[in-house]
Amino acid sequence: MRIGVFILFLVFVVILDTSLMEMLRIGGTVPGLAGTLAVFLVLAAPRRNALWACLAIGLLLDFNVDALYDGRPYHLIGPYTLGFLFGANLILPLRSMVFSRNPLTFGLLTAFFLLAVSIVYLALWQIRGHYEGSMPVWGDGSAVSAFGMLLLWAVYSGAIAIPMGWLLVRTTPLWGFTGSTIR
Amino acid sequence: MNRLLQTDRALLITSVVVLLLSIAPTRWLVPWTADLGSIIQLPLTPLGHAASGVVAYVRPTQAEVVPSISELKRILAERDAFRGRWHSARLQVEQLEKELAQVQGARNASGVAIDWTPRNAVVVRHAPGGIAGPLQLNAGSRQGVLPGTVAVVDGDQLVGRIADDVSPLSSTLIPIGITSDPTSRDLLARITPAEDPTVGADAGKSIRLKSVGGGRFEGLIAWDPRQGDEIRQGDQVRLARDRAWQSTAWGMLIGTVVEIQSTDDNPLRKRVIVETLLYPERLPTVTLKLQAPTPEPDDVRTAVEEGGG
Repeated sequence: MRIGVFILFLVFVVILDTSLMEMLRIGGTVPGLAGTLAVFLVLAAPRRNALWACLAIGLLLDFNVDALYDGRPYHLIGPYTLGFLFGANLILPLRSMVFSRNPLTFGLLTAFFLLAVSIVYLALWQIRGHYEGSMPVWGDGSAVSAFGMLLLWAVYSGAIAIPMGWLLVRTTPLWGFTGSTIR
Repeated sequence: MNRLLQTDRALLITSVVVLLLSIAPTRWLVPWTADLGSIIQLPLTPLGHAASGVVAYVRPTQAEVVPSISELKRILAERDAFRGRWHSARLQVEQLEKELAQVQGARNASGVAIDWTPRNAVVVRHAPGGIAGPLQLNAGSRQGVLPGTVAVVDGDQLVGRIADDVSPLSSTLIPIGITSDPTSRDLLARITPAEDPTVGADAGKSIRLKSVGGGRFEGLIAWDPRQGDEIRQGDQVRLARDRAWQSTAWGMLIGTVVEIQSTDDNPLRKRVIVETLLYPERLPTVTLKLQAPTPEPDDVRTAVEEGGG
């Protein structure tokens, strides 16, 4: 896998997720593209490369979430990083069973992947909610309502993943995957 | 390096390190993660800025509303009423300007600056997934942004304040109502009737508001059954002289009263629910009210002594 290509796509996707996707907001739900990129890499790249890439995507997303401690901003490293690793490990066994070139595969797998990410994300922030002076990023609201929001995020992102996945599959020759499993 | 990345052990060790970081005490993370985040954000900020511009162009936050005939008539009547008030206010302003010139002279002599200047800042980063939280702005200490600087939109709608760590080219805006922010948790506010245009930190009924999340606040207010309801739905709520906020935030609009509830435990008090008018996570730009840094007490004393001769 070409690292340069991955970094370009990573930067592009994170910028889209943190700024441009606001354009597609429906109610309180904004879709994300990072999950689609992660699913594409899990389906197409060699196992270890895919896991490292998911770790990198999650890490960059974690650095894009500002939390507050006593009025001071900080970034919690982990919720997305571990969530993306967990999601990747769930998708990896499935990649030999699915038709990666089918855009619907991307839609379904991205929603499933982001659901897994959401569980880790919520669990870690919920644990941190018990720390003195630390609050979950969803504030005083319940974890259930936050999960509802993340569920909608996963479903909406899954819908967006259908056209995005189709586009990403077209870029496969750029990535230089060795022993690509995409079919 | 490439060889290292090809081992499962390296991945496992990295995962364990991330797991430990994710459960580490917050006070250990605060000093370095914000700085590291700023460095990582450095190449992304200009691109994010451009993307925010596209969002603002494609989906402007305030849609144009075509008023109906009855609304137009009401607006015209209001215009005439305000024209009358403007003429009387103009005379008052002239008087105040004279007084202000005197105060200004005294202030210049003491060297204490309380002026503020507006500066527009673009929101370059929201939390992914549309989760409400702090926002990243493209203005930092180099542009005069200081911790606590107040951000507003539409002239007087309070958006929030700048967090403590301000980097040279960017800053973090904490929107009002975020429960994890101590300054938002407990607000000193005043409620003014919706039809009364009087604004200011001292106008209206005083209330202490507590943030309950989701852009909502609640507070208790004394209720006199003989006088009836003084507070109504739609009344404006403005920040009073709350010392936790810079003086430039005083009098700014927090939101409106959306609900008034009776309290079982205290029949002479009513619970007022206030909702903010803004969705900070949807704002493309904000106006920062930049204040000159407050001089050290020793500098002030010296300046007063020099001014006093």
